[in-house]
Amino acid sequence: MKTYKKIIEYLDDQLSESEKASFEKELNSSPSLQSEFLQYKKFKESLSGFKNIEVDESYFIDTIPKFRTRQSLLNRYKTLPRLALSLSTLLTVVLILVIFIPRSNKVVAPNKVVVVVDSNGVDFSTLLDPNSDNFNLNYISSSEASHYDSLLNSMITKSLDLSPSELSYIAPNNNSDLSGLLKNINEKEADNIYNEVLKQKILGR
Amino acid sequence: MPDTKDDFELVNSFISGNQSAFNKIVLKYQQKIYWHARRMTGNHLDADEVVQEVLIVLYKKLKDFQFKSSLYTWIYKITATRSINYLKKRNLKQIFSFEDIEAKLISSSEDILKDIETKEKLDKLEKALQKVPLRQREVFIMRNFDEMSYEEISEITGVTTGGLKANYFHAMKKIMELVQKDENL
Repeated sequence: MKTYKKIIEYLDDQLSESEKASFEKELNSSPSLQSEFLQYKKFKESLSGFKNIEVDESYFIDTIPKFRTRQSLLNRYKTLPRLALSLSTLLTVVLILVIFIPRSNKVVAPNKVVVVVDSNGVDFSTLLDPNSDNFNLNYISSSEASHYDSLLNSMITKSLDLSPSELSYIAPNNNSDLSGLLKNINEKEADNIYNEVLKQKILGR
Repeated sequence: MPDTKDDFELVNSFISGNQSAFNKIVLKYQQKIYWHARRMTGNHLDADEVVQEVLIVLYKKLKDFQFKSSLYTWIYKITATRSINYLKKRNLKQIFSFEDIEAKLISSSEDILKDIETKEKLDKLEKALQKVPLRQREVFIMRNFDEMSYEEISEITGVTTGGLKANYFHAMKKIMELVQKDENL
């Protein structure tokens, strides 16, 4: 064991009786050890002067009130992070809804010009317009009439969730029935059908 | 060592809702908490901060205290841990700051010491203490000022007695040299 360690152990009363006796014998015979020992002894004694220092007692009287004040502040501000978290979560959810979820009831803008033409180059909208010169079944060829007829049938089936056999009871299935149906269509209904066809065929909804 | 029976009653009284029992516990141990924190941090302002942190932890955890150790040992353990954590935070702050926080705090005029001569002597010791590693400083304080045995210190710090002794010898030698260099105490 190094000398300084032995001195510290001796001063701390950590040596056994035999170790103590051996150290004291060495101490009596070595002036250098004596000098080192005195340094540690003096230092150790000086430390005991720091054990009971006179202080301003008012500090210790204020410790508890200070703690209580701090505690009530902590409790008051404990809800703030929770509130901030809730608000930010809500805001995030709203932003996600606005940005990522498409609006289901999107209507084709009335001023949006989308022209759908048939195989003869005739605008489909004029075909369904009762005021148009083209609003005439004679203008439609039998194959086109059949095509529009099946288109209407599929729209009705889809909208009403019907099977083809159920549809046969309520929907026309030939050109003459379609003729009767188109004659009874007013302007508003024609617009709706036009918009619906646009949605299904052009916009894919 | 403080009265254990009295501590048991105070803790039970606090658990059953008596707030003044907590105040009594604080009054009983606050000086010990303060002085450990003061010697570890080296100044009054930081020690005061550590004391408040310790009291907050104590208030929160006292209901779970099961007397597996004495209340004194338990409080001392909290104080030792809080002091070390506080110093680690302070060191980090110092790394990211341009000013010397430690020197500023040590020279701060705010203090509870009445006697100027004692304050000067303590300043020297505190400066020397700040120059040794945390674990060495801790064992030096516990041995010299709180007169704890190595076994008690081991219970608090979780370090083996062999390790504690090695730390203590190094601390004692270095602090003595530093203080002697500065001036005789």
